[in-house]
Amino acid sequence: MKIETKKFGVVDVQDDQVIRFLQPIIGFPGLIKYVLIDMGRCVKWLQSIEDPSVVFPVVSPFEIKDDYNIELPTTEAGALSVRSADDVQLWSITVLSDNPGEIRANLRAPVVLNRRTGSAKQVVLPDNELPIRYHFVPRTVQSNKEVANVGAHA
Amino acid sequence: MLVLTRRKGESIILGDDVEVKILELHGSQVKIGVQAPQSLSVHRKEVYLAIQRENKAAAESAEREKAPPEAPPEGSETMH
Repeated sequence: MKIETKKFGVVDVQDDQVIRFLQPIIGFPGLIKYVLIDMGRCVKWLQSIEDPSVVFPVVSPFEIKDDYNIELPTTEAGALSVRSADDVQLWSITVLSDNPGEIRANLRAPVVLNRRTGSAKQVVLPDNELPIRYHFVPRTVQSNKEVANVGAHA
Repeated sequence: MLVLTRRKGESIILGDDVEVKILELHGSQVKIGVQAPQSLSVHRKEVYLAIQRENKAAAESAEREKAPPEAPPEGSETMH
């Protein structure tokens, strides 16, 4: 299907690329269908399928913090039908800025995606040591792909 | 706001399947137990608000970020 987006124009999304949230992302009620847009850089884009203007920059928390390590609560793993760690992909919602010192990602409440089923949830982890605002320096990625690839999760 | 007085060990019930129980009292601190269906998220308010604020800041920063379909200028700090 073709979806309208404010940032990327019309994007072609296959059914198996649709990410369905069990609950809306906190602060964005009513929106549960998203797609991950990968431009070959460290920052990917979590684009709402239902609202063209809603898109979140996301990064892999493992890419910005080497020792990032979480324990997914069993209730959350159960709700997302996670069978093994291989099912799971984590994405940290990121604030971009022209001022490098303002760039930060949320390590406390990552988007947990089950790649096998396409279901996802922004999970607030119980570990209150994990920062909600983790400042980082984006890593330069040596890729110049200019065509947006929509990442399949299945 | 509805105000109820409860003692340690007592509960209130919200709807049909949510129970909020007073477990312990230590001075000005109260330990509360919440029993709720999995589909209902329970958060500390300040954590919830901080996450909501960051999510909104992230979405706004995505709007500000210019011309993503093109490659950003070499050495751009904002998008890699």
